[in-house]
Amino acid sequence: MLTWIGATMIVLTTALTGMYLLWQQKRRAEELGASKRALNLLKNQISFLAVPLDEAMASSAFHAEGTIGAVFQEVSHALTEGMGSAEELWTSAWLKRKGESTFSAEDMQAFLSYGKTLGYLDKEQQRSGIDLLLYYLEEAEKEQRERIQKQGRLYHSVGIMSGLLIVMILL
Amino acid sequence: MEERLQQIVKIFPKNLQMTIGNALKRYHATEEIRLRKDKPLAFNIAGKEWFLRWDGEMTEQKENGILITEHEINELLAAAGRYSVYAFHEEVRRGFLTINGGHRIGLCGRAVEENGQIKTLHHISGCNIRIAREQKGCADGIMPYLFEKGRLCHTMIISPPGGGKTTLLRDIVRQISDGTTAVPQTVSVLDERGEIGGGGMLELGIHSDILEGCSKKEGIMLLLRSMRPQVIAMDELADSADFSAVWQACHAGVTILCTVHGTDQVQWQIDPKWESFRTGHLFQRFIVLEGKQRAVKLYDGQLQKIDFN
Repeated sequence: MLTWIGATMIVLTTALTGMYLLWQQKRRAEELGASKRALNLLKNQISFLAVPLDEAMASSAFHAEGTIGAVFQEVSHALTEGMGSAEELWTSAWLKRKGESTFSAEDMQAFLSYGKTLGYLDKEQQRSGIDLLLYYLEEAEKEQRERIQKQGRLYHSVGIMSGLLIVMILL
Repeated sequence: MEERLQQIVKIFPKNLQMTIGNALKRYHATEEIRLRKDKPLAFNIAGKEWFLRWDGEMTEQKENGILITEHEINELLAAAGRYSVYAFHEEVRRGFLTINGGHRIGLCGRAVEENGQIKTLHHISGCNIRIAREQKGCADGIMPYLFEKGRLCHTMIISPPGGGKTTLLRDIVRQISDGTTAVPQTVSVLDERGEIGGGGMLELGIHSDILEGCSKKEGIMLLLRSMRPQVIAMDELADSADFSAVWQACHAGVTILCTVHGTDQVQWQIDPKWESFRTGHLFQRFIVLEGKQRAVKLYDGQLQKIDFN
């Protein structure tokens, strides 16, 4: 009896691990999409209204979701309080969320690189900087969604199969 | 410390903030703070320039003052521009930035010209922070003389830079808007540089509407069309376009309150920009502020001196 309970638990655990990994992949795709929407809002605030960064980020954060919304909010508040330069604050806000978010190391690198151009260039170059990041996010989201479509079932079946394999070995 | 003065402290690099904050708290009569590359930090207190030491004391010995580096000037400007160069490009081109509280930062550096016009300034080597003052009641003595038959006169305030024009204009606006001398009137304030209202930190009265960051020509037309003002107030008429816009507004049935740089009536009698105003006797009151004591002289439209007080 105990053997069967143990075997069920092993299969459940590996199946849940598979589901969790899939959820993370889906979450990353959602985060990439949310980042795109938030950056588009920021781009409009900068290029059409020429609103200073702290106000532009506060206003975009109001409509933004996920990690980027929290980053916008934190940077905006810190800029208003004069706690550092835009690049410093942007970098520190992203590094603080490194372990929490589902972004890959490459995504993080793209966000950090964008921070280097934040605020100190003219309107045209600000727009180019955001466009470059948006292009990266667009491609990354597309790839991620394709991967989920292709490998979605794989995560489920590998989760269950690996559990069964462990059980068979142990038995 | 007052919220308005904190706005100045905030833009300084971290290593200077405490010293500057203490100095501003201690020396209430500070009018300007000047930063020049590789030169000591200077405070203009009641018309005299002093150098600030690290211990917070003022000195006349330049070698004892806090030496300012180019990096510190750049840091200050980045903070003053809210780390958003793109948002303040036009102001920098015109040689100034205005921060919250209405404090204006004048800039000096290398200008880039294109087609005879300054395109931008870079390598900023010096800046001058002019501290905006709010002196409620400074127009008390002159207010009753700005009316003729119960109607507010078109009024122009004239003084050299730093003579207190904006401070006086602000108080006149506040009093007209609140109706301290007569019936309250709707005042539209055309605050091109954000100095009059200080981003909402300076009081302009209950019946005032503020249009910020807009040129005189565009702003006057916008206000006339949309805000139905009784009075339009604006700071520092500079070129022919400004004068021409004011000329139009004077004929649109609103009262104009404005300021210009000048020394005395002699200058504005010979300047061609004034021609239409002089011949048309359009302005009915000229307030001239003179000297460090800011002595006030008042003239009527015929340039006859009016005694008051």
